Amino acid sequence: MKRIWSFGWFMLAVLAWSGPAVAETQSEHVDWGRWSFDWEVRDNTGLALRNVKFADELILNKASMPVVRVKYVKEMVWWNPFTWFGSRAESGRCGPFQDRLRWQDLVPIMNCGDQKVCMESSTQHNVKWLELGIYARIGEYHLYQAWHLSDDGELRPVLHSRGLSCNTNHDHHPYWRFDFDINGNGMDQVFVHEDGGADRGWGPGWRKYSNERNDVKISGLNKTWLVRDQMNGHGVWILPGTGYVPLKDDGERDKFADFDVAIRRANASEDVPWAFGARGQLGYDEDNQGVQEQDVVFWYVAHLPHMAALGPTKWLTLGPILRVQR
Amino acid sequence: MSSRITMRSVLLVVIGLGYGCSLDAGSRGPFGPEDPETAAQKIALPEKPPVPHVFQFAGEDIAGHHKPKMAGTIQDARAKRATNASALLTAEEVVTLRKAAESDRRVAALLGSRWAFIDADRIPPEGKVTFGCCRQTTGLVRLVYYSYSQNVAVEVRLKETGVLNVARLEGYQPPEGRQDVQRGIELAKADPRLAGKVDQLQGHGLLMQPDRGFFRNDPGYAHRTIWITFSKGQEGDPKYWAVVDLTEDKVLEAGEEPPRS
Repeated sequence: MKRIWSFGWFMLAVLAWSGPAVAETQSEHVDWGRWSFDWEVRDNTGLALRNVKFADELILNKASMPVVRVKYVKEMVWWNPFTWFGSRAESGRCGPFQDRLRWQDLVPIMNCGDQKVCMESSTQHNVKWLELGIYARIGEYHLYQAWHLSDDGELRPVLHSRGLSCNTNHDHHPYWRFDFDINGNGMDQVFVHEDGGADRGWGPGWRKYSNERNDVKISGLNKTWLVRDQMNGHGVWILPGTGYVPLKDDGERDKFADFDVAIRRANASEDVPWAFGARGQLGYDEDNQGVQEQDVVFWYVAHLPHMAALGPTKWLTLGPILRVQR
Repeated sequence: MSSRITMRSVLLVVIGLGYGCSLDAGSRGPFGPEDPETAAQKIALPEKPPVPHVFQFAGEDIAGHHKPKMAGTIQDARAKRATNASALLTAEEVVTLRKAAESDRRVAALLGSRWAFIDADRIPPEGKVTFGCCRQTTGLVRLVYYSYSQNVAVEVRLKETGVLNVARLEGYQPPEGRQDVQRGIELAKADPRLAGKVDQLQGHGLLMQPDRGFFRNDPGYAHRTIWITFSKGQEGDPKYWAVVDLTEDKVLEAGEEPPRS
C-alpha cells in the first residue's frame, strides 16, 4: 500500500514538473473543430500560424505579424527651429520603433495558467471561439498578439497594446502578413470590391489585381478584399476591422505608414524578419510581378492611435477580419 | 533687387533647414504598368461581403501580465495539441552553438572587440513544405550578433556545430538583445543627468532609429541606438529616459520624462 502511495506521489510530482515544460514549447500542432494548424514563435515574426486548414482544405501557408512600427508625434520647442517642421520634429523625442516579437520577449500570462502561449476556447453569442495569444514585454510596451478562430470559419488577428515609451501621442502600425495557399495549388487570385463600382465582368464593384500593388481603404467605398483559388472558387475575405472599444476601426494611414493593404507574389526569400527598419516602408514590389493565378501574399496594415492622456494601463485593440468563403 | 534675392535665399535656407531635413520617403510604387487580365474563366464572385460575428473584449485594465479577456464568454472544451519538437532550439543547444561560433576565427574577426549576441533560430527549408516533417532536415541554424566595434549585424550559419558561413548584414538592425538593453541601462544609470534618480526604478530598452537629415543627421543616426526608460516595475509609465548610442558606448541625451500631454 505504501509503495502504491509512493508511486502515486512520484507520478504527481512528475506531472507537476512536466506541466511548465509543456507550456514552454515554441511550436505545436493544433486540431480544433474544423480548424487544423501549426503555431510557432520564431524568426522575429511574433506568434505565427502555419499550414492553416479549414474543413480539410488548406487556406494559408503562413500568417504572421512581422513588425509593429511605432511613430511618436512631433514635439515643438519654440526656441529650436529644428523642431518646428522637419528632422527631430518628424521623429518626436523618442522612436520611431520597430517592434518585433520574439520568444525571449514573452512573459507568463497570469490569467492563463502562467503559460507563455495562451490557448483558450470560449463561447460568445453562441459562436465557439479558440484563442491563441502571446504576451510580449518590450521596452515599456505591453503587447498581446492573438489569433481568434470561430468554429464556422472566421479568423481574427488581433493586437492589444498598452504602455508608453514617452508621454506623447503616438501611433502603432501592426503589419500582418498572410501567405495564402488556398487549396494548395498556387493558383490564387486577389480581388477588391468597392460599393458602386463598375462591372468589369466579375460582378458590380469587383476588380482583379494583376500586379503587385499597395492599396488603401476608402471609407465611402467600403472596400473589402477577397483572395480566391481559381480552380475551385473557394476563398478568404479580408474585411477591415471595425475596432474594439474604445476604437471604432483600424485607424487612418498617415505619411509614416501610407497604405492599408499590399499584394505581393509569394517568394521564399521575402519570408524573413522585417528588413525595412523603423522608418522604412514595405518593399518587395520593385519587380512589379504579376499576381494573377499565382501564389500570393496579402499584407494588412492597421493604424492604432494611442493618446498619451489615456495613460499606460488602457488596452487598445484592433485587427482585420478574415472569413472563409466556400 | 539683389537684397530681395538675398532675402529670398535666406528664407529658402531657413525653410530648408527646418522642413527639408527629414529624408524619410513614402511608399514608392507602383513600379510598372498593369498586365492585362489573364484568360482565366470568370467564376462569379459573391454579391456582398459577409457580416462578421459580434466579437468584443472586456474593458478590464488590470496591472501586470493579464491578457485582455473576451466579453461574456463561457469556457469550452480544449483543443487537441501536439508539440512540434523539430522546430525547437533548446537553451542548451544555443549555448553549444554559441561556443562553436564564438571560437571560430572568421566570426571573431567580424565581431571585433565589442559585440552582443542577439538571438538564434533554426533555418527552415526553402519553399513551402509541411511544417512538422521537414523543418529539422536542413539542420541549419542562424545566430545573429551585433558588432559594436564594426557597427554591423553579423549572421553566422551553422550545421550542427560547424560554422558554414559568416556574413555582415549591412544596414540591418536586428531586434534589441538582452545585452543591448543591459548595456544601455548601465550607461544611462551612470550618466550624471540620471545618477541617483533611477536606482529604485526598473530599466527598459527599445531599439530606435534616429533620423537621416539633409543638412545634418540626428545624433545616433545609423548606429545601434537604444531608447532607455526607467519606470516603476512593469507599469509602462516612464519617469526618466535616455538615448544611448551603443556603437559609441555613450549616452547622447537623458532627462526626466515630462507629464503626459
